[in-house]
Formats: sequence, structure tokens, C-alpha cells
Amino acid sequence: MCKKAVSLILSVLFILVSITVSGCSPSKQIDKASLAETVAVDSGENGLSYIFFLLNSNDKPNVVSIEANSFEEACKKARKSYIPELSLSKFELFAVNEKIYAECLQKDLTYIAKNSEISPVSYFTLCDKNTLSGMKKNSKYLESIKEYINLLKKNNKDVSINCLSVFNKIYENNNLIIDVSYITSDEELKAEKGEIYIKNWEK
Amino acid sequence: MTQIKIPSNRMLITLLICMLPVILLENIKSADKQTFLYEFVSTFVGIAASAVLFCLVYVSQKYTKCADVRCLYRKTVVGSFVTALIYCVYFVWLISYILLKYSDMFSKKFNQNASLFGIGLILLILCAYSSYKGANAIARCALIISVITAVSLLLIFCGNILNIDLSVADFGFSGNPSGFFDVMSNTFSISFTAVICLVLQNKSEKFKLRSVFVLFAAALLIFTAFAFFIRFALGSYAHMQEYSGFLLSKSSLLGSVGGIEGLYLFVSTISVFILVSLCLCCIKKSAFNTNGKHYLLFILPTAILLFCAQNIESVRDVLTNQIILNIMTVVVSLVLPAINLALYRRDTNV
Amino acid sequence: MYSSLKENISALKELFANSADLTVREMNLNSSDNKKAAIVTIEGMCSKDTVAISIIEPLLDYKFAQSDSDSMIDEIQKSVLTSSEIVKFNTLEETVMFATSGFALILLDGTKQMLAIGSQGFSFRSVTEPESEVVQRGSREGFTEPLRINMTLIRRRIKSPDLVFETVTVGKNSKTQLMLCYLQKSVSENLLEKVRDRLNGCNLDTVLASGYLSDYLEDNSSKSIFSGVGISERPDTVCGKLTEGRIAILVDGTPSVIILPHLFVEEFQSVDDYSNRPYYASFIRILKYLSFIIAVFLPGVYTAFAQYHPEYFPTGLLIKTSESISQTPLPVTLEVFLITIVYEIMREAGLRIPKPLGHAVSIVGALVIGESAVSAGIISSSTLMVVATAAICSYVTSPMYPTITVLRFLFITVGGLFGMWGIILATAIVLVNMCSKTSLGVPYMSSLAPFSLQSMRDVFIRSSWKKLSKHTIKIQRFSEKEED
Repeated sequence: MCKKAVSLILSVLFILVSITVSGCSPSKQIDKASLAETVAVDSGENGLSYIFFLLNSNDKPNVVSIEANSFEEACKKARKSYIPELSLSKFELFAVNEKIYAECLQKDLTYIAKNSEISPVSYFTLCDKNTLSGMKKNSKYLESIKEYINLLKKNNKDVSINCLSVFNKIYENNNLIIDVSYITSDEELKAEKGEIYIKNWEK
Repeated sequence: MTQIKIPSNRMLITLLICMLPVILLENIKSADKQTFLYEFVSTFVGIAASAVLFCLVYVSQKYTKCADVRCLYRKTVVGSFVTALIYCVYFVWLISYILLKYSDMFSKKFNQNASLFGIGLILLILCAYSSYKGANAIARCALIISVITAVSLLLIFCGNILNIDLSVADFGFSGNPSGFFDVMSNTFSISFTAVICLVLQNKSEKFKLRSVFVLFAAALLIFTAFAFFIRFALGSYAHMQEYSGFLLSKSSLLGSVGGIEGLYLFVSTISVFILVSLCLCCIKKSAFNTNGKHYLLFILPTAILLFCAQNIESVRDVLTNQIILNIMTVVVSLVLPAINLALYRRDTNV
Repeated sequence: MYSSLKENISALKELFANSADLTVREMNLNSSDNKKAAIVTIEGMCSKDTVAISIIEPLLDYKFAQSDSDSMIDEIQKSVLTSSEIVKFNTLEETVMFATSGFALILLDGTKQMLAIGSQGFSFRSVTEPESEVVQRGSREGFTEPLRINMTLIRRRIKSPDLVFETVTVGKNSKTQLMLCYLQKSVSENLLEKVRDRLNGCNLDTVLASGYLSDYLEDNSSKSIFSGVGISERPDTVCGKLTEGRIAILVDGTPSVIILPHLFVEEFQSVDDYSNRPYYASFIRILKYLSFIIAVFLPGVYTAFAQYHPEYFPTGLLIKTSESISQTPLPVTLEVFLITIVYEIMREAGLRIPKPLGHAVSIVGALVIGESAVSAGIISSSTLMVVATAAICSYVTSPMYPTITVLRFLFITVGGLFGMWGIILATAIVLVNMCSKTSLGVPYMSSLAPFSLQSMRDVFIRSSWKKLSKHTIKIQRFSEKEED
């Protein structure tokens, strides 16, 4: 009887201790977590503007814009002030304005590569200003962009469409032009072949 | 205590599962400066060395006709005690080594709030429960798990096929000696399976020699597959983070389903579970040779080591040092039996 | 017993404490000295017509040539009575055993010898289809409470002299009769000996159902949530198991027959599998395994995903689930727990409720929980759907329902506390538990671990009868000689 009581007490203690020290906390509850599906980089008033598109069920996207010099800085600011429960585990698309990619691409791709939350096969694309504006207005834009990127890849095998391949190509072919996808929506939304050139990538 | 009887094929599968943590929790930083062929050769050398060690252990077991590791020093009480202690220290070290690596991977990749000690301790306690069920039960469990593990690994590899980019591949043979040594040392660490086999196998059901080759051939295949996919699917991306195995699972894409790191967590957790449980069974067999629970006392020093490793960096560095582990493996698997043979050669018919 | 009839009758009445159902019919036989005799029966156990026509009438009509009581008993046994079952005995224990088993006892003045005449006439349920094991194509016969009828049901299906019934009595007070049933040439003597030893070690006062014996027959029964004994109410199932070298234990008074040893893979086998076409049977078999996995893991995995790993949901499902969960006040774990408990309460109520009121339970369940609770925002529809799916899946393998329920709660708890990591560890522990379990020394996970390629033809798939009939795999083959 005494042995059983001791076993029961030890089992309860074990459960309590393990909950405490294993770091398990309901901080990522499905209804509380703010999952950023897409991040777009545009020029802002004071440098760059990182636009977080959070998952929601509405037609109009849930958008949070943060002025920062890098993706890492933007995430820190977001967690501190705007989106405390920000999670990048559902991150699927990194869209960068074609005119400012040279300012941010190296540090942002490096941050993405070092971040274990973000999938390496998240899409990467350049886009124009119109596309970025369209993305803020309509959720369906984001889905269409992914479809067009995949279609582009089917027709052009040498185009790099995800962060993994873009990173590898830049890292291993320093000072070369890399073919990436470019989303434009001047007349209609479409994906074309774009080019990026990073000079002297710091390894 | 009645004998543990694990048939040869089942032991083969169980040991293969035990080798998986070495591959999955690999974290070699110097591998980026060498080509695939160079890495393959260093992997091959490491595995070949492990296979040679395993064969030597097998031969020494056959020559001494001694299945029970404690028979090595059966002649004297002091000798028996010292041998048992050495083996127990070895297995405690091995358990700490693998738990620290696993906890480190878990806290960095899955839950930043998790404490190294907490994760390790919970796993240790659960493994203690399963070791109480016996090595036979764990080996049977490994059989079932091997199927799920094989499917999981296949899915991880298949999901990365589209990421393979051979255009940046360098099929030359170049690298640096430190990288060679690191990879070789890492792969050689799978030789702890020789010690586990030495302790758990009994006279009547010896691990067949051809099984040794099958085992290490399978290990080489898995190591090479991982190396291939990490190099050609992940490329330079792999060197930006620790634990390339995790990254490989994160980058896999099966149709529209992406990121199957849950499978990686499953495979790594379950293989560590099997390995630690078997190590505890080995402590039970080598130290006490009974069905009692006294061997569970060894959980205490292991927990203390884990706690110290969490708080003192140097302790962690020593415990996760592959070279120290490899040296200890060679000592317990070869040096001790060699000493026994030299001292008690005439009395080998036990 | 005594030579005097009066003393014997007094002794019996004292033994049965003058119980109202003990009936004594005294008579004078047609012998030279008008020997006194008595017929003792337990009212309700014997058929009055049988006693009157087959015993009393022949006894009264017969003219005995001899006057010696022992010779008269022999004469009655051999020449007078028309009954097919007549046993001579002379001990008090046998008297009690025969009387309580529905035999009519003949006592004769001047001898200690007595006769027991089989004249059972107690009421029993007719042979009907067992409700717990319904099949589409197969026999509609199921076991009933009387032991002899159950033995007949088995004997009719296996018309072989190999079939052996061995009597065992358990229960100090109830003296319940058991029958060990096996095929002599198929069964392992080692297993048989183990069963006998364990039954002899049963120290219960009363054995009213087969479940009472499970603890004594299992290996380490208290330490596993999986059952180490198989139970069946179908004669065809039992006969099939007997041909594989297993032992069946028939318990008097219960239609549930115990089958030993019992393996995990047998929970997914049914008689229908062997009546249907192999491809369909294989599909159903795989469906059962899938249902088991869903029933056990789905609520726990859902809780773990919702609580710790929302990114594992596909995007569309994630949005819908998040929306649905955000409208409810309770945390996901508690919600899943509550719905599961409420479902179990309803299931139990449905089982116990009188049939006329059964509709009320259905209405309450469907409307109150299914409709109103979701509309009121107390529980989310996605959680309700998950729990309902798991519940339906658990009925596909209904013999394992208790095990599935316990495991389901375990995985909900660990999933809610530790996420996927907890579920993985709990799975490992459960697997080790299953792999360490044995049933009469035979590993519970046999066919899977230890693996048997030959057995695979009847585990996940059901091969054609031509392949299955080539070689019957005997259960003792899986025994491992040495254990840890």
C-alpha cells in the first residue's frame, strides 16, 4: 500500500516536473498564433518596409507593415510591438520589390537560411510595385502568385523559385546573374523570368 | 537470470536503429570544405574501421567461448567488480553523449524553451521503464519501428529529389585533413554497437559474421544517402544551420505537403529511445546480471552528468566529444578482452 | 453417505439447510420386502416430465427379483431406467455436484450407493446470433449459457476424435464447471500444462463469468492494458482457433468462451474475412488497422497540432480550424477531453438504458451535443468532428474498445501537455509494453514481432484459401524458449 502511494506521488511529481522543465507551454495555440504566410519587402519612408501577410479567413489579407533595415530586425520589432505571437513556421513566400533587392537580399536570405522555423523551399520572387499593392488588397493574389511561379518553373527549368536554390546559386556562383521568377501585374498578373545580381556575397 | 535471446536478424535491425542517432544528430561544421567523394571516402573509412572492430569483438567472443561479459574476470571478485564498473561507466557515458546531442537538437529546432536537462531526464526515465521490460521486448519493438523508420527516411529522401542540383556538384577529390578526421570520427562512433552486441548476445545465439557486413553495408548506404542529399539537395544552405538532418526533412516537399520535420522528430526520438533503453539493459546485464531494479541506480549519475552539462560548458564539451567516446569504445570492446586473454589464456573454456 | 435412507435424506436436507427447492419423492419399490427408495431433485433444475416418465414410472412398474440393496441399485442402473446418462456414486460431494447440475438422484434404503440420472430441464436461452459479434456471411449460431450445449456446438463443427473436452471445477462456493477444449494433435502440451496450473491456482469463491478467470490466465495481467485472453461467442471462431493449436475454455453459465493464447493481430480478424473474396477481405482488414490507428491517435494528434504545431495543418484546414476553435472558451485539450468524456457517458447510458427510453438518448446526444453545444459556441465543430470520427473508428474493432478508450485518453493527455514529442514517446512506451507482453509465453505481437513471413498471408491481407490451406501455422511456433 505504502509502495503504491509512493509510486503515485512520484508519478505525479514526474509529470509536474516534466511539464515545467520541458518548456511546454501553450504559446502557439492555433487560435492565438499569428502565422505569417508571406513577407514582402518594399521601399519605405525611412529605408525598407517589411509587409507581413498573416493567415486569416477573410478575402482581405491581414497585413502588418514594419519599417526595418532587415528581415531579422523586422521580425524582432514585430514580436516586440505588433505581433507578439508571430510564427514563421507557415512561411511560404518571400516577395521582394525588384528595385530594392540589392539592399536586402543577402542579409535576408542569410537570416532565412539560419532560421530553423522557415522552410528552405519557401518561394522567392521579385515583383513590381503594382503586385505588392495588389497583394495587400486581395488574398487570392497570393495563391495565384504561387501557381504562376510553379508554372514558370515548369517552362523554365533553370529558374530558381525557392529560397534554397536562390541562396545556393548566389553562394556558389559569386558575381553571376541568377535567373529568378518575376511577378508583374501591369496589365494582368503573370510570372516572367527575372534576374538578380549580387556582387561579392560575403561568406 | 534467464538468458537474453535475440535472433541474429533482429539484432541486426536493432543495431541499425541504434546507429541512426549518429547520422540524424550529425553536426559537423568542417564538412563544407570538402567534396562529396572526399566525404564518402572518410565515411567509408570510418565505417570500415567500425566493421573491423566489430569483427574483432566477434572473433574474441568466439575464441574465449564467453558469452557473458562478466566472465572476463570471473576469477577474482575485484576483477569482476572492476570490469563491471568499467562497462557501466562506458554505458553511462554513451547515454549522456546521445541524450545531450538529442536534447541540444530538440531545444534548437523544436522548442527553444526546453531545458537540456529536462528533456534528457524525461527520456531517461521513460527508457528506464522500457529497459525494465527487457532487451527482448526492446528488440521486438525495434522490428516494428524499423518499418516506420524506413518509410520515414524514404519520404524525407523522396521529398528532396526535386531539390537536387548537380550543376554545382564538384565530383573531384579535395578536402582538408581535419574535415576527413571529423567525418571519420563521427562515423566510427557507430562502433558502440559492437559493445552492445558483446554484452547482450549469449552463447547460443551468436551474431553471425555475415550479419556484421550486412549491418555496416546498410549503415554505409544510409550515411551516404544522407551525405548525398545534404550536399546536392541542400548544398551550401546546409552549412547555415546545425543538424542538417533536420534541415533535410524541413526542405522535403511531397506534392503540396511540405516540411515533414515531424517525421524527423519521430525517427530521431524513437532511435534515441531504443539506444538508451538498450544501454540500460547492458548496464543491467554487465553489472548485476539479475532481473532486479538495482541497475536503475545508474540513472542518478547520468542525471547528474546531464545537469552539469547543461550548466557547465566544459562538461558538455567533454561528454559530447566523439574522440573520447571512440577511445572508450575501443578500450571496452578490445583492450579489456585482450587483457583477459593474456591473463587467463589457459582458462578460456568457460 | 449412510446405508439408511432416512439418514441420507436428513443429511441432504441439513446440507441444503432445508432449502425450499430441494424435493424428495419417497416410494416403495416392487420387491419382496417393499424396499424404500427416494428420488431427490432440485426443483427447476430437472424436467418433471422426464423424472415422471423416465424414472418414477419404470421404477414403480418394475418387479425386482432380488432384495439385496446393492444388487437392486445395479439392476436399476442396467435394466430398469431408460435414461441415457446414469452415474453411480457414493460421496456427499458428488451428491451436491449432481443435484445442483440438474441430475435426479435415486437413493435406496440399505446401501450407500446412489444413482444420478441425467434429466436436466432448467430454462435456458436458445441458440441465437451473438450481438457482440455480428457477421454478414457466416453462421448465426452463438454460444449460450449451458455448458453442454456449447460443447455440442463445437462438436458439430469438428467431427474428429482429436477434439477433447477436459472438465475443471473452479470456485469454492460456486463450483463452476469449466471445459478445457483442444485438439489433441494440434495443441502444445506445454501450453496445456500452463493453463491447467493457472486454473488450479484460481482461488476465487465464485466464478460467474469468464472475465473472472482472465486475471489468472494472463501473464502479468495487471501491467498491461491489452487483453492477453481472447473472448468469443461464436462457435465457428472458436473452432478455427482450435485448429491452430489454441485452447478454448468454456465456462458454465456464460456464453463467452476464453481462447488462449491470444495475439494482437487476432483483434483484426473476423469470420467474415474468410467468407468474403480475398481482395475485399484484405481491404477490410487494412481498413480495420487504419481505423484502430485513427481511433487511438486522431484526438491526441489533433490536440498536439492545435496546441503546439498549428503549422502541420494544411493551410485551408488551418484557417477553418483556427476560426472554429477561436470561438470557444475552453483550451483545445480540455475541449477534446470534455467531448470524449461526454461521449463515453452517453455510450454507457445507451448501453444501460431500457429500450423504450433509448430514443431519448439519441435525441439528447444528437441535438444537445451535436447541434446546440456547437451553435452556442461551447464546443467547436472541428473538435466535435474529430472526436466523433475517432469514436466511429473505435467500433470497427469493437473487442478492443476498452483498450482504445484508455489509449485515446493517454494520447490526448500527452498531446495536450507535450505536443508531438509526447505522442512519440507515449507511442514508444505503448509499443514496448505490447512487445513485452506474452500470452501463455507466446509473444503478444507475434507475426509482427517476432516477424513471421508465412503469417503475413493472414495479417494485413487475407490470401486465398488455396494458399492458406497449404500449411496451418500453429500458435506454439511463436513461443520463445527464453525470456528476459
